[in-house]
Amino acid sequence: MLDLEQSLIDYSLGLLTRKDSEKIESLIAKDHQVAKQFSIVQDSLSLMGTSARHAKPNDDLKARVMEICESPKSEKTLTPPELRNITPSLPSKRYVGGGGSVGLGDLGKNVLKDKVNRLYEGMLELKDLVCGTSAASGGDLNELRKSADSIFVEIPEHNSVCSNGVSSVPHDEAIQSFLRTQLTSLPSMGYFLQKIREGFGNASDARRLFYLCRDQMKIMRASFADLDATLLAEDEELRLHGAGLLRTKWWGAEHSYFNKPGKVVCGNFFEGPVTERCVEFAEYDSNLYCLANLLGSKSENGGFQIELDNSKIPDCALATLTGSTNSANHLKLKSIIEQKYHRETMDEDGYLAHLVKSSISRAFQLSSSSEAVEAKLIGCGRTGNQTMLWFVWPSILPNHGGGEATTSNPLQ
Amino acid sequence: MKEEIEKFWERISRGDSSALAELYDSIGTKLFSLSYQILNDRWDAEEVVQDAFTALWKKPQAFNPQKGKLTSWLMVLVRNRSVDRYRSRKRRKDTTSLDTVLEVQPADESEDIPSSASQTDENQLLGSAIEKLPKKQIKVLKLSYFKGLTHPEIAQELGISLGTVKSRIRLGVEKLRLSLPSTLR
Repeated sequence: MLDLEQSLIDYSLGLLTRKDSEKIESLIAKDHQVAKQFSIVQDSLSLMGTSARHAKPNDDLKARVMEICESPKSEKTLTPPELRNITPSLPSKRYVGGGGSVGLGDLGKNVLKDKVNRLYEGMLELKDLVCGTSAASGGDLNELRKSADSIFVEIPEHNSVCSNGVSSVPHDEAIQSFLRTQLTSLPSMGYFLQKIREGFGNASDARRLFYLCRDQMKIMRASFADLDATLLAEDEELRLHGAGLLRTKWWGAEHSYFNKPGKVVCGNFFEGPVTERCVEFAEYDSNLYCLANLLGSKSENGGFQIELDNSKIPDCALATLTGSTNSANHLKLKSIIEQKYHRETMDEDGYLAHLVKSSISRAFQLSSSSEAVEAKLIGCGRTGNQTMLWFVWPSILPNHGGGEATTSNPLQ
Repeated sequence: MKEEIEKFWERISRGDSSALAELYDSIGTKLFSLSYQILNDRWDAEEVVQDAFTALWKKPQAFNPQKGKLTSWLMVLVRNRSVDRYRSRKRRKDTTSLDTVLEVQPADESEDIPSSASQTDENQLLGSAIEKLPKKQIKVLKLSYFKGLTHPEIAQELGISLGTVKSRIRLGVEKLRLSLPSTLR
């Protein structure tokens, strides 16, 4: 009897092996007395939880929780009609990110190198001011406001990035790495920083700044291998990243591309891992930001819906971003996604699409970025007045060897 | 109130969003407090609570009212997810010593304001129930519950046998339950 009670406590605390957990679950399911005893153990342990020191969550947490109810309960994902029956050819070895990385020296011009270094240092400072242990996270924005002006976070101006010395960068991979640091999460961060600098903003904005700052730093490390070698080594360790991380981050978020803010809605997200390492996650994030910036800047209210599905395309995860657009903007988006790469004439929108195409080419080992469009691994479609942008990414196969150990959920 | 909380599940299963709002009002702060105690990070703790409510809304059938209380189920869910996150963070950057694990966390002023008088009473009762436990049992229980340490890890840290760790946890849980008034059991 004592052994059973001990096992039930251990099971509730997530201390049993999978095999032993299954034995206990089977006992609980079969034996009413065991189930009753298990219930008592759970109640007792929950008393420990109730004894936790009182802490008040920010007011917007309830609003975010309630947004769950607005999303469809069905498992159906909006799927572009163009994607029916496509079967991408997968490389024999799964891509795990980091393929687009260059050295800071590859930028050639010192001015760009300094810009990247200063931006990363600014991010380190900002992250401390908005992290989950900061005063701002508890709603006290005074310190963040005081420091926001002095932190060196240079936000590029719209349509200025490609003209400021980028053409002199010696090779395409270096241009892409630089533009990834300027055009993905940074523009939205500029919007929130500006809000704070002008004396507005609340804990919710600090939270958004934290996510953007964290992503920006990861994207920068994945773009320039020698920027922060110590943290990059951690980013390269095997560590599964679930779709849930993306859902939590984007859920109900306000997103802005050069001061065109809009609301993000999360639709259906599959349960399970999306990427194997932080560097891969940074690349995946970067792709999402690129498409979010393209669509958000051209959708009617700046808003869009994100969905992640792993059932439509064999062995692949499909990310779709959907927003209402007028037909002129839809055609513009379609042309941006489908245009071929010409270094001399490419503008920022073109580069946003090109960054995703290059990333997908690496993931599927394609010989050129235009092949990614031809294979429909990235695309732009329309249903009614909704424009859908998408990209496809190789799934992580089941029975993957590595990853996070997890305690059991409170199974009953 | 406890019985009311159990009724929320039926309404949530029927897709009644006001039930989710009421459930959040009833135990959202408690769940956040638990996660925050484990993680000491507001954003992480908010994510855990958000995910727990998402899980309940999307798959209410994961909870079976025949086999326990909704409050306990949610507390265990939040505790386990917080511990997972804590372990993962610790693996990445192993800087937290076990001494700091047991210290009371620094709190800002807002954290000292309970959301209701009944919550104050309840916390006081729980606080005194825990204080009544032998210190050795409290230490083992806290390391296990709030930091997710395994039995061998606790044994090694405190220099005691595996059997002693197990019995202290079991006796602690039992005494805690018995020392509380029946309304809180």
